[in-house]
Amino acid sequence: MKELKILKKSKLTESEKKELFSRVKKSVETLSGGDVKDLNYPIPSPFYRFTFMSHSTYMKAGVLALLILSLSGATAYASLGSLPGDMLYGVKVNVVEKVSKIAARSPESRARQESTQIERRVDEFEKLAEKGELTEAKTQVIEKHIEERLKDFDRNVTTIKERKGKNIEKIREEEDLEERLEKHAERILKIREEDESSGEEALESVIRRTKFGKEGGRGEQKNAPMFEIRLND
Amino acid sequence: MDSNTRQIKKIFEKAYAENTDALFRFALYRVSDREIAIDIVEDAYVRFWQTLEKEEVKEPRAFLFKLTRNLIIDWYRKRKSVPIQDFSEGGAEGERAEIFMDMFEGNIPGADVDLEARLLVEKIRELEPIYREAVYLRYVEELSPKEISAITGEPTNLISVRINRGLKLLKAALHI
Repeated sequence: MKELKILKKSKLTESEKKELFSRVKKSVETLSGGDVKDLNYPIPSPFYRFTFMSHSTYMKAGVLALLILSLSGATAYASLGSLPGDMLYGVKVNVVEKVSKIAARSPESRARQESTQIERRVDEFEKLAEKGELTEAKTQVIEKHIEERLKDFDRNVTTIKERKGKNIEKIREEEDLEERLEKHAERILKIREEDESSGEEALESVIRRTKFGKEGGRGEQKNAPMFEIRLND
Repeated sequence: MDSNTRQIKKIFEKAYAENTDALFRFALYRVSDREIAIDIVEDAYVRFWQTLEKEEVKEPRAFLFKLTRNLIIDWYRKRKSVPIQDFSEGGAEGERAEIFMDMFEGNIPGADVDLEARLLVEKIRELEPIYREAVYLRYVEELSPKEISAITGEPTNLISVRINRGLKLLKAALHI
């Protein structure tokens, strides 16, 4: 009950705490002859206050988010629009997105996060294709991230199915992802029509895999990635 | 300084850094006097050091709260010997002392809480005293029912019941 937390506002001042510590030290020495000469006033860790929080996962996400915002807020923010090959792309996929995943506790919310990130990778693919900057190295980076996220997505979907009963054929998260990917497929087709040079083979592959996913093939080949984004050597 | 003393020093410094504000609040919300609350916390830490010299303390946080709670009780007991007119209005001497032992029963010094906290305290006072301490320790200081049980010496199940009922009553009082 967060309303009660306002009672935590009652605190000792730093000087009161230091004075109290000196008094304790003196009393220990006088009363019990304790060896306190090396006993030093402790400086509290700035992270300590979070260790007793009941919702530790949310707090971890909060602390990490705070760190990102305070230490490199501009960097984290700037990284959001970065694409493979940009300096800040690593910050985006390895820091910013991972922080947002920490807060997702249920398999449903985790699956939603994974699907959002998969969609984001496809979006990056589209942007690179639009700009004519799709190289094999960049495609491989995107493919690697998509495969990782798909594995996690499948794992979470399996967990949801196990919880809800094995007879459920398709769950909302799967349908959401497929629906969104279908829109991307349409967009990729459009890009291909407009610019024949933009990684044609890779685009074809994305479209093929997306359609494959939509037709329910993933259920039969659970471990197969939804995408196979390849460019010719 | 031998290795045992070094270990004691480490535990003590960590406990001091992590618990001083919480122990001070716990005492302040009971004795309603900042200086007395500080004195009580001082005594608690001295006893904590003395205990560490003799034995291992597995749960320093709960142990420190327990020491502070016992010292508050001792302080009230000593107050019983003070003439009755030294207490605020009404009630027999002993009865008044027992009432003051409940959390938030006395006035909290103005500088220590703002208006919002003061209003909340008013609502907490509507709870029966047996619920106040359990709700406070659980939701303000975030101690587990097991830790609270170690502090009060009452069974964990009973503490859990008090926390749940107390929270329900407090929510009703706050209309949330």
